[in-house]
Amino acid sequence: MTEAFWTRFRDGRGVWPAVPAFVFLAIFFIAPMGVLFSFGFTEIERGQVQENGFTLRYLTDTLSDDLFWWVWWKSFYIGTLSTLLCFLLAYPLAYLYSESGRRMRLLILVLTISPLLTSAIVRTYAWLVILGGRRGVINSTLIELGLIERPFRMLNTDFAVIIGMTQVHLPFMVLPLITVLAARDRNMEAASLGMGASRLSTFFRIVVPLSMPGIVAGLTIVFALSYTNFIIPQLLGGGGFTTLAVQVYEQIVVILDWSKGAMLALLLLGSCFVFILMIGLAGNRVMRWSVKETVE
Amino acid sequence: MKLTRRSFTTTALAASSLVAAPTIVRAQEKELIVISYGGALQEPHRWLGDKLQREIPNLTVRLVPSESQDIVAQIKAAQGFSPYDAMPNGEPPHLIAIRDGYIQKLDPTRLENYDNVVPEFWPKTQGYGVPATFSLIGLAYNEEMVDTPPTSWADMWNEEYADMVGICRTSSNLGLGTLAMTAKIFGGSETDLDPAWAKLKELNPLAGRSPRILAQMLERGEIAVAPLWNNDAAVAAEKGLPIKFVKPDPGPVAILSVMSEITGARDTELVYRWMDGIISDDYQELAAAAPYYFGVTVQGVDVPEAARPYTPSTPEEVAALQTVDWAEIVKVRPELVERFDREFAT
Repeated sequence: MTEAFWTRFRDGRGVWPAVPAFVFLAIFFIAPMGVLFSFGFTEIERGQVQENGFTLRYLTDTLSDDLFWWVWWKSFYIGTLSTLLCFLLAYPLAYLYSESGRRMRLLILVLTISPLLTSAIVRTYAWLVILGGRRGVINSTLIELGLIERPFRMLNTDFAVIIGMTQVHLPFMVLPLITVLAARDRNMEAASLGMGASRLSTFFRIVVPLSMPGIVAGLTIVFALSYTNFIIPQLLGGGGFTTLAVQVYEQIVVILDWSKGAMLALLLLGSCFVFILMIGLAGNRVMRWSVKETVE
Repeated sequence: MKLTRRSFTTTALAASSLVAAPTIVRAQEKELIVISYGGALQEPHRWLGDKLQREIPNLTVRLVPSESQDIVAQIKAAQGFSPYDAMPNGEPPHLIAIRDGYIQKLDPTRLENYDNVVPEFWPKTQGYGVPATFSLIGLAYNEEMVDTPPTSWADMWNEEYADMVGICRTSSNLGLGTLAMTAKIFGGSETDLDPAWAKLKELNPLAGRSPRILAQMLERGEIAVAPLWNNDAAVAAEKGLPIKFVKPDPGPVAILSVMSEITGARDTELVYRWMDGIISDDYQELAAAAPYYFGVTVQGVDVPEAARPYTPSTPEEVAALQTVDWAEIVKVRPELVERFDREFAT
């Protein structure tokens, strides 16, 4: 330990301010998660841990189960698609924000943040009203207009889940993008345009690389939320729609198989961590390239 | 101010009584926490709770609307320290609760209304709890979407309803009852459910995550026909929604709901008062009335005229009621829940 560290430690700087958060997380997050994950390697019979109960059975059984891989693929596909949709919708909005005047910025910010003031469950229920059956807003309008006779099946489909997730998670993509795009160095764009680059080329070679920290943050947050989401698939996906998060609930609450549920939770969290790491590494790589090219 | 020994003692005593006061008040209060149904079906429980609150000073009866499976998971996690006192269970979760020790054996001598109950219901409780009510699984349909109403279980496979039939997941009693009944009418049984899986798959059904959600799908016109609880169909029809209920041939499936004391309940005396109230004439009359239409389990309570479409009202209808060997189903329940995803995951 260096003298500087101890000086900072004694002064209450550096480590001390982080201690309450660390203790809180250790007690209320890390410890319960540790206990839960340990169940995945333990034989439990009717709520009682068995003697010599350590086992890898749940890991091998789960990994060799076709249903697990199908559900994993479904979670990944839904998470990825809704994340990409969020990005495609959020980036133009965030760019518009960065190019707008004070009033327009305020309007965009209010529109972005206001959905967060209501519960995600309430917003998801609203989609039931819009998409649901022949009484849903869309189908009843089309039937009234005589354009269709039988209602489209929109609820209880992948489409409904992706639409619901995109709408609920959009603010989490917009906000980091707004932060980086609004604060970017405009001199670099001016220099690019001054040196004869087109506006399109300047956008893709200057603006997009400069906004990479926001893109990475947004992709990370939205993917993690979508991949592990439980409520939206439950409400909009129907009884035949299942994801890893839904399977964790089914195993722990419905089937009462804590070990299998814990193993699925571990695999869900572990794979989510890997994907987030991959997004982060890919982002770092792109940002290094952009800095290098800018310097050159 | 000068701090003397006397002023210190007085202040300390005053502070202690201030801190202890809420605890003393709470100790004089009594609380009964009962798991209940959601929505309108909870109202008979609320009525009984209010009645007990009037009869017993300082009693608060709290109803917790929840699926019994969620509650069982919580009780299991609490490792014997259940936060709840009593719960109603359909026959499948009732058998699981007995097996896993979540509910307590009944002492019939503590019930004043014990002799009220139709004797045939007692064996189904296996000595744990009181037979509260029974409900039927029949076929419900949206009358705006169906020209020819179904009359038998086999009608679910009619061409007219193709791609418009809904079923509930096998995580619910409704889903399990549908599976067992399908097996029976297509040559299977509770121990041979393969014919049922094959026939249900042939339906290409839209699945509901719970009975309540399945009823909502029917209301919204996402499906036209579905096996449904008589009570859920009745509540929807009472709201003016275009839902009708039929008791399909050879007969609807009857499932008993048993109200039991949860292991570790804080005040057994209160739980017995509650269970005694459940098998009282007053409670049963209310539960049998509109819009709940629960089947009564006590003798001498008449089925109201308005309940006739939803409950058996003639000896022939009573004789046609279908029962399921739930003990066989419960043995393989985890596999049945998983198999639903294997067959129907989209």
